[in-house]
Amino acid sequence: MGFDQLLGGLATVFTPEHLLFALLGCVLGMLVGVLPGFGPAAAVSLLIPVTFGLDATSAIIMLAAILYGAAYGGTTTAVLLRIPGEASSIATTLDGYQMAKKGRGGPALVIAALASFVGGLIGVIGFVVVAPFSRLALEFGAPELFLVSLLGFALITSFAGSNPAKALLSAAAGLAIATVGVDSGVGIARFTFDMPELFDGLGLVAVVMGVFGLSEVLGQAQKGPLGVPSPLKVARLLPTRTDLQRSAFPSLRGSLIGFFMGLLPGSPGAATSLASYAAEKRISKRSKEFGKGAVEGIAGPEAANNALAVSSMIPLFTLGIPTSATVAIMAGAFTMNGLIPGPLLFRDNPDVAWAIIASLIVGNLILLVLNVPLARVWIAVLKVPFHYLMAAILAFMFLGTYSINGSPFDILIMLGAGILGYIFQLVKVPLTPLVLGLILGPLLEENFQRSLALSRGDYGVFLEGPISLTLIGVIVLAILFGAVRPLIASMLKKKTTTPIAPKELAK
Amino acid sequence: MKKLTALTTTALAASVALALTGCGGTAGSTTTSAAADFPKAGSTIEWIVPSAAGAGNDILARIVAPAMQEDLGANVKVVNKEGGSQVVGLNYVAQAKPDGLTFGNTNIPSILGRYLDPSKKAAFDRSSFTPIGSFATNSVVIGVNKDSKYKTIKELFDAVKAEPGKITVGTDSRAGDDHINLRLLENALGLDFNIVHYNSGADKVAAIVSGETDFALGGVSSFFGQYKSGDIKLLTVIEDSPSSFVPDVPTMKSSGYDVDPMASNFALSVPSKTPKDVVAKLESALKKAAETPAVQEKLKGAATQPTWVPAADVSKMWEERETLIKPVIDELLKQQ
Repeated sequence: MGFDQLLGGLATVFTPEHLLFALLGCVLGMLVGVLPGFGPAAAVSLLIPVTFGLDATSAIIMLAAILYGAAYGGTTTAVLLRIPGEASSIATTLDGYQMAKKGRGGPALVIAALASFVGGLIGVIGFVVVAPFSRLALEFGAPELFLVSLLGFALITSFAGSNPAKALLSAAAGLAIATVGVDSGVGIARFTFDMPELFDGLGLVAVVMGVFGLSEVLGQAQKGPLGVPSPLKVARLLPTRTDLQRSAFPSLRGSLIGFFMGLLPGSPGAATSLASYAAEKRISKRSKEFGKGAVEGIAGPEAANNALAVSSMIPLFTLGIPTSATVAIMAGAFTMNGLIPGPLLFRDNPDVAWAIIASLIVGNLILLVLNVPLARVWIAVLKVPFHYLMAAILAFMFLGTYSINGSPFDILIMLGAGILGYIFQLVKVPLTPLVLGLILGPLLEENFQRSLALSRGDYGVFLEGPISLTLIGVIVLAILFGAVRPLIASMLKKKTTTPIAPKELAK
Repeated sequence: MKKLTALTTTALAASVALALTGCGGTAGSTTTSAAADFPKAGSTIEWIVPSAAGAGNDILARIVAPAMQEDLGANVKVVNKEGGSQVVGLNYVAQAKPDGLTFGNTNIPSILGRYLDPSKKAAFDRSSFTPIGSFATNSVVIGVNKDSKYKTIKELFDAVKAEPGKITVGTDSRAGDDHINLRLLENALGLDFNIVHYNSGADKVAAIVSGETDFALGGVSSFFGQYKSGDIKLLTVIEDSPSSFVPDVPTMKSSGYDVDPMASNFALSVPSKTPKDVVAKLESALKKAAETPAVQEKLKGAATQPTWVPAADVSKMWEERETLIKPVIDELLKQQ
């Protein structure tokens, strides 16, 4: 494997037919990404039978384009309306929507597209470099994945805002919601109230749409027609030179985080882009601007998201093992088209394999070219007076939520989550820790149970091997620097401010 | 003007959403009582797949449905009704109007685990459905890592006997087919495995390739890619005669173990009160579809054996499997 074959693959892709299907896939993927709820997984499986008549390379090129195209599209509604089109766009809502409110929706969308492109490109380069070693990812077994999810909780401090206690409350609410359903290890039904709809737990996308999207609609409605400058001002479309400079390193770092997380079995895109956001916030000199419209908070997560979309295909290509539900559908698409995903792909059909990998570059380029001018079109949405726009958003959210499973029950979940999110906003509890708890809860629990089942109850299983020990070390450092240090700092501060307290009281 | 553009964009996107998700609703009248005119030209028959889009069931349905559609002269639309470990979708089929316009996957044996376990709150049992046939089977195999010290099924089982409860085996879900088959095997041969549950067939296979578990049991389709690439070695196929996908893998019988065959069947059923002649019409359409060479080729591509089992035989098999598996499920429930 190497860059020679990649160039060969590029030559294969540059035929009118393959380019056409790459374009088609990109456009479909973007549409699917823009529509909240209706995800790329559903779109790919609907299209698999359509691809039967096509040549296998074209078919897979198109289906893959839908997957990463959706990662671009999901950004649009996240920035403009604060509805994450896909769960992995949650991080983008944090600063993207704030930028849009300030009339900088255009630069936000363009930066997102550029960062996505960087992420996709680095993903492909990493694909070529790392693919021969991808077996190492399997070293992350149940105990290691448990520790990775535990480390994920350290991220909460980055989304805490001014009040860590409120962030913990929010995370606890997320963990509580995550317990709903039939436990996968022992089979005990928890909070299911004998309703089969609840056996598999509450749908992540429905909850996320409610917590972020609906709560915002409710919040705006409460302010009344005069609450928001309506329609929003839309200043310049293209990002400034400073925006670009500030996005460069976050995009690169985000790409690396996304790339490595994509290799791990079952690592969710939403947690990964939030991890990139947390990393940028911690590193940045302007961490105070995060949550108020910092471009770094868009560039990092968007790059991470797209690098992950590419790297999550590596285990499928090299080992034949799909590590996420979305990639599993790609695996189906391969077999349906007479290709066996895995090492045999490179032996028996190397031209097909490399053409598909090369198409990832072409597809990302197509998406970049499409997205920059499209930003102008999307931004027009913001010029619609808010009271009309809200009605359209509500309709979209109902439609999108229903389309996930064709289930009206999911709409009720979305509405309930929306009310919860609204109440949280009223009392200034941050929402991101809730989603983080909801995503990490099941991972934490399942891998904990699985580890102990494998070791037959021996807790030593978490201390075996260099990966586990390293992870434990990182967790300890994260706790020391993330929680203990601020705690000591605040205690020291209190001591120095104590003398002032009586005066304050006297007022 | 700009406002107008934005609104049109929104409207356009919304109509695309409708088209993609197929919210159009079920067309066609449902008053048909006799089969003479079943199905009315242009009516829509819903094939309810109780799992997510892209799951094994779903992919096979999308292969077979177009061929059925051609034969029936009506639309056969695959509809995913996911949730509640398939109970949501199966409830929907059991409670649908018995007019032949709704049928769904009632795969055997996996459906047994849904209604024999009272905690699943299934609103159906065997009597709620009338089978229309089964179009494919998936043989059950046992696989190990390519570097495993167990070279034959006998070596593996001897090791299990030597250290009961120590040898680990992965399943695709708790109380799913793999789990039930493993319990059947334990009972039949007096073995004791350390059974560990994963979230999907892919996770279970990954655990074998990485060496996290000692062996795995499951449908041959879930191991096929890794078997071909040599990452997984198959020790046995739990059938009376070898599988055409893995002809060199010895059967359980030839290895000297007396175990009933365990293949899973992709059976389809309508609600039980559906008129007999309507059932017959659907059965003949399914049979024709299942025997279409192009469909068979696609099914084989998905490492699934196209095998036609008539409706009457499916009913019999369903009853037999229920008798066999009920005690195992009762026992699993007691362990909770």
